[in-house]
Amino acid sequence: MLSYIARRISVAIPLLLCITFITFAMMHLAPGGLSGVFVGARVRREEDRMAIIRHYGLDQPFPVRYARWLGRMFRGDFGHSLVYRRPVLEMVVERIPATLQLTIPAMLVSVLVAIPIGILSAIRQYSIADMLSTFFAFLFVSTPSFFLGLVAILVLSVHLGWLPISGMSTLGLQDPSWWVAFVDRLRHLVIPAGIVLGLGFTAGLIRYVRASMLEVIHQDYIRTAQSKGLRGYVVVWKHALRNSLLPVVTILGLWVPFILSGAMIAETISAWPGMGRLAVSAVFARDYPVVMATLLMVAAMTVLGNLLADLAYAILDPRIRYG
Amino acid sequence: MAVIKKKSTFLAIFWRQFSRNRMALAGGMLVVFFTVIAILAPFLAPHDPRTPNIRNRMQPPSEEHLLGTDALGRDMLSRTIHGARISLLIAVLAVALSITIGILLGSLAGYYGGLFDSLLMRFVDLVLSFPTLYLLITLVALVGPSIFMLVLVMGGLGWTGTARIVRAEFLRLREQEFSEAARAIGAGNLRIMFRHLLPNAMAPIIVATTLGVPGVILGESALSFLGLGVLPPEMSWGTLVNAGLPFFRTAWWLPIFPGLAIFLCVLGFNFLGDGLRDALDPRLKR
Repeated sequence: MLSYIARRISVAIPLLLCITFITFAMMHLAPGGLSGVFVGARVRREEDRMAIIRHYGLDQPFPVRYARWLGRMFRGDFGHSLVYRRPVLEMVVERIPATLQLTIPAMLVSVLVAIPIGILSAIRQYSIADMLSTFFAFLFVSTPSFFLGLVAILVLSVHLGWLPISGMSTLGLQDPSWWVAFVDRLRHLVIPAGIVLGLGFTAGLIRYVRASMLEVIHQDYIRTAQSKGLRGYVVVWKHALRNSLLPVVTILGLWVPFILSGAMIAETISAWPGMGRLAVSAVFARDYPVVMATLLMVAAMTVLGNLLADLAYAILDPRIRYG
Repeated sequence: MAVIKKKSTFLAIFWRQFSRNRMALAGGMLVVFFTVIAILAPFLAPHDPRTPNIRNRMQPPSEEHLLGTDALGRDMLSRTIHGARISLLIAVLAVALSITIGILLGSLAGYYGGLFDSLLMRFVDLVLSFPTLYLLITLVALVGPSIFMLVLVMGGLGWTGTARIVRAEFLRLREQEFSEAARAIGAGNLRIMFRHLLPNAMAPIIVATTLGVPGVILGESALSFLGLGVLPPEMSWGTLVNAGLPFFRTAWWLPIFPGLAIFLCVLGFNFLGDGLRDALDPRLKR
């Protein structure tokens, strides 16, 4: 097990290095990329231009620039934001908790809702419940998440006034107790996490759990268990569930990038101060050091998600004992 | 006289499977519906989508303007109809690009294997480690948002899934007897790849193509929603939603109808793709 973990991590590290290279190359080689932004159109005098180019090391060959940048990054120096003049790392790190507060509850609720529905759908294949769940899964997989968010805000917030329109918390709550603050945060989470992120994710997951469960319940050992006279629910919940949930664990890891993309939309709709919104505003402001840092951060989170899913798979599946 | 049994042809079997699936049929109809709208947009639109009419601004849906009018008094129905053009055009071109790249790289990797295969698959892993939307907004910001660049960026990023599918199919097919037979009668590598293996891999490719279109439509609409996709005066459905956003509390019809169009079109392609998968892929039959 330990050596398996070590091997998986040793694969992840070169992948992360390649990610840093791609990100750097994209930013520096693209027309209109970093070099142009640093110098800027307002710098007229040739000496000034050269001074800036030298200051940022832009006169060095590409590999040297990459190596220097990588070295600075390992020391935690991601550069300064061109707009806010603040260390980039600080700006990105302070946004991570908000994104996690959005994505983790969304994933948890989706998993809790999707697994029972998906299983029910599979064991009662072609029943009315199955058709309904398949139909709704299709519906929500096909709806652009921002559209769901718009409709939800229009109906639930603007017309009914049940939920806050945007933001993370109500302004001007005087010294709220933790309980009041918690409920307030939950109310702010319903639209971005529950509806914008959660519905599409739940729908995709239902389809996945259903397919995975269908595959398992047609296998021989399930028939064996049934013919031994075990009750239906024992077969389903003990024999089939465990094996059908294995691929679900993997898919949760693989879906980390989709969730982060979805979070960008949710954060934009609900003015949620997370990384996605930081990335969007940085792209608009051409604040490339911030854009690079967010790209690196989300890619690293994706790699980490895949790694955790692999490890969970190895722990859960006794058939796999990696030497 | 030989009796040709109709049911034995591939198309007949396919059609029997497919037409039994009501969701797939409905999806196919939606796809045809939106395709016709996109092609015939100038003839179907009741008004000019670009002519402002300030006196008529912000009209809710009425008999004259079925989907209302926008902040400049332009007819939303006509704008949504013309939006179908851009949205579908981008989707079709980007998918064509990504499928072509995916088939070429996937078949080379699957057929030859070796170093190229492992390098390509590592590269696919690398591309997939970036959340798509983050990569898209960065690239679009670097190269500048235009319809051409959107097609290039989304097509250039979208081929990984197809490449994986084609590679897996080729790995399976190249070991089969018919490809050995082709080699035995002296067919060259290219001929085996594209005359013998590729036609046998078409089913999953067709499914991937059909399911690729809604992916691009959603991607483009998300980008346009963020303000980084198709820019006005060009109009895609996503752009129309974005343009309606500032007014949506008072003029709900501005973002809702183009959003609904995206939803229905994507739903149609998803139904169709899923039905095609069931009808084309004998391994999934139960």
